[in-house]
Amino acid sequence: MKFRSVVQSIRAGDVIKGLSLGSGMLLALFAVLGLALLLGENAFEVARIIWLGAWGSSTAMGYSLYYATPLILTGLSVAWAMRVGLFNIGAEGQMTMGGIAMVALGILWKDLHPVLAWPLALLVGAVVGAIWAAVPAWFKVRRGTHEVLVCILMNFVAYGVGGYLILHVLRNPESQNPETLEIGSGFHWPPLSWVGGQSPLNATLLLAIVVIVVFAWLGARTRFGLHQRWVGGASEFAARSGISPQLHQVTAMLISGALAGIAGSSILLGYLHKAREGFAGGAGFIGIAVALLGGLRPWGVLAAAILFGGLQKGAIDLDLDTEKISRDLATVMQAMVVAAVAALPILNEFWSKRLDPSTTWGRRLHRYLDRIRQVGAP
Amino acid sequence: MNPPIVAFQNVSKRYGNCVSLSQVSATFAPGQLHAILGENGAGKSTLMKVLFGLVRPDEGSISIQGSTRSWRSPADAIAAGLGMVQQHFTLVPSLSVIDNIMLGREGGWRLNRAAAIAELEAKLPDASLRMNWDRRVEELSVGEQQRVEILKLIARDSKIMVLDEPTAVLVPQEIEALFTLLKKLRDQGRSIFVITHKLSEVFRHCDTWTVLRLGQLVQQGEIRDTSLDVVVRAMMGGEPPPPIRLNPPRAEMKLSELLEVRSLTSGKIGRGALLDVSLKVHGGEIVGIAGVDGAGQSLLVDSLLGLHEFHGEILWMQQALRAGRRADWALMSEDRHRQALWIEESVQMNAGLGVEVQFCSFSNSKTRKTSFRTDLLSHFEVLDFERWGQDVARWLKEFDVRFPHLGERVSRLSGGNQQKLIFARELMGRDVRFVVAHQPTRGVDLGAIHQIHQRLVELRDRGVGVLLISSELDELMALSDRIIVLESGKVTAQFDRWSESSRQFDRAQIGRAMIGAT
Repeated sequence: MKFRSVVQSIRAGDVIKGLSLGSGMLLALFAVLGLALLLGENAFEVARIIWLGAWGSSTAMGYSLYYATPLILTGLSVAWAMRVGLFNIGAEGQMTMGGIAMVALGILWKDLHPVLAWPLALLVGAVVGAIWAAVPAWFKVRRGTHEVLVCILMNFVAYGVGGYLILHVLRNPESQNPETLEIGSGFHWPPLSWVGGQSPLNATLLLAIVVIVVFAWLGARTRFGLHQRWVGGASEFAARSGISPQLHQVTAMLISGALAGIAGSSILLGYLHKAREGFAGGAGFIGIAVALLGGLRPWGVLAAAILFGGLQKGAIDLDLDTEKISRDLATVMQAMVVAAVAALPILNEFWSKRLDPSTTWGRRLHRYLDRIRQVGAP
Repeated sequence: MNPPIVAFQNVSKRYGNCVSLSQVSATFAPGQLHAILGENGAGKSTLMKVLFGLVRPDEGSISIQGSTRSWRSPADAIAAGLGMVQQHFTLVPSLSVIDNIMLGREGGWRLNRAAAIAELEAKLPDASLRMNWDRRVEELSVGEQQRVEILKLIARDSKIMVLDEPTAVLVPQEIEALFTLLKKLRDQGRSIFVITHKLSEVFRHCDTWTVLRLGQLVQQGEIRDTSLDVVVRAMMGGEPPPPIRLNPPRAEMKLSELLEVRSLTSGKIGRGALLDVSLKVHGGEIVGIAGVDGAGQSLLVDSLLGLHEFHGEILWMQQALRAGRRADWALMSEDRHRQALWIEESVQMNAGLGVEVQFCSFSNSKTRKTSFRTDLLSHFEVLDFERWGQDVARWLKEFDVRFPHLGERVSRLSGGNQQKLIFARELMGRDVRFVVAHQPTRGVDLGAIHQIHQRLVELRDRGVGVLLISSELDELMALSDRIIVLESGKVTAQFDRWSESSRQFDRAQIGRAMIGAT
């Protein structure tokens, strides 16, 4: 019943959108394979290695999902803010500070029981991330400073402060590496070896999925979520209906910061059990691409993050298994995907023209959709 | 009879699914003032854009003075002696009048302003058209800017002039001056096309009329042997609605004072600011605010809604108004697309936004209608989209909004249907005691205008207070119990329909107050 009504609600515009996204991804793939060809590699071989590297075994899949986990959270962080009309380019800094806060708690309170340790660590990470995001939010609402500017500055502050905390305050004196002491075992999240084999995949993936479910529900079904998107989509209209855009923007930024704040949990609590300098590794920035590719929707973000995680793992295998390709190809592939997303309006126009009702194919499409609609009509 | 100056033969134009012009054939005699009439979306602007080369027709052809022409771009049309004044002026605000007129045809390396002025002045029908050529365009009033646009066409020796909705932004005196000028240009032998929807001025000034509806030519004729009724019927495709009648207010209504504004001052001194404005709105009356665009109307509304800081007092039922809009107010905003609609969203969404508390699964619609719930929990209640859809569909039906289905994007609706949707949302979703209607009929077709006017009068008769802000004087004079004139942010005059004294409605007096000449 539900499925039928969903199918019936498909409009020509949705088909065009789907075609645009699909053709965009294909173009991105062709561009990457073309690049591999230019480098002198067998393009089919490259595609095979990427695919098997990412999804060929349970360990491979585990790595892909492990790389995807922080991206799910940073992607959602960026997407949520963007739907409210804010560009949170500071997820990287928020993730760094939130992560260090979680680790610091784990170091200072070593013998805490997991029942308390898990939620408390997440709470601390979320709060610190939100505080880091509150600064740009405050400047935006009170002083009118663009949030992008302050977010970027806060990223630099986070690098500096985070580096200091890791190297000087929480440093493990017995280690050669720039890393902190270990957190208490109560803070460890268990590995998900039944999915991920030998990979570092851990239970924080489930956490990320739960967060996606919660925010999908919040955004689509509640008044709060509706108001948040309303402020993003038509702030003047919202203001004239008795809603405070400023309040909603601040709230959205805090939520965004909190999500980025716990994005490091998979690396820190689930795998390393300590913080290393630069552990965020650009996940905050890749989150922007994930958010865009996911169409700013929670489920889309989940899918996009898994795609990006797979690309990352596939590229690492390429590095090992080919002569001329390094793991930087992952970045190139991600860039191609982002370029394809940026080109979506052009593709959309292309397909709209091809499927205009006045053309043969457009007529067929409309007739077909009409027929689907009638089949289920009472 | 002379050969026609302009003739259209079977001109058609489609935009995707939408037919904008269909097989339009029409001829126009030279040396006359032609009115092109029709509702929004009737195709009148498109037809004129085809003539001017801005739009390429899918089929058909145009001929100028008997010879068939086809334009590749407006440049061809301009070279052939055509000129068009767009609804939004194409002037450079920071340049002087003469520089704007010379722009695009400077001729050579050095600007010879003196020669250009001399050349232009020789072409003018009489000396009264001279302006201060060195003033910058941004310092001019809207009426003067329009005159610069027309002077541009004169300088280019345009034999055929097209003006798109030239009177939409003018006050009555300026409209008279514009048509006086156009008649002088006509008497010089030019052919002039005026796109408009204001019939009164057409009947006072134009020579012929042409009505389009739904992309088709309905009827053409001479003004002098036509009655207003015939034209209205042609435009609407049916019987015109009866005129709105306003009953005298009942005595007990006057007692309930709803809104009082005391010496409201807001905004920076200059365009759009408010200076010491006081007014009252009682239950059961329509108070009209007249004034040219930018006389402070927007700030007045924003101040009432708590969106702008102000000095002075705003009282609601004798008590200071807390910041923000009250839930028992209905609001028709001036800029429909940005201030009253979420334009990328669906019809269903737009018809319920702002009053969606009543669609929450646990809410009882009766208790929720009158207040914006602000407690934290109400924000996390689950929306029942099924009920939302059902209720909204009922409202839209009641207000005769035409839409293909609830999921259609609201941007696809016509202006009139959008405005009726806003009306339905604002009135059906709340227990309304006060209405702010800011330009409620701008860009709305005649049928919808009539319905909106009727609703406003119905509300008034039910005891609701209405603040009607409009730049259409006809609308204000038809609907208002009182008219307050704003000019440069100050109240310059007040008129009362029901008073015995000289303060009764008088078009000329109101018009003078609107431009600050008392």
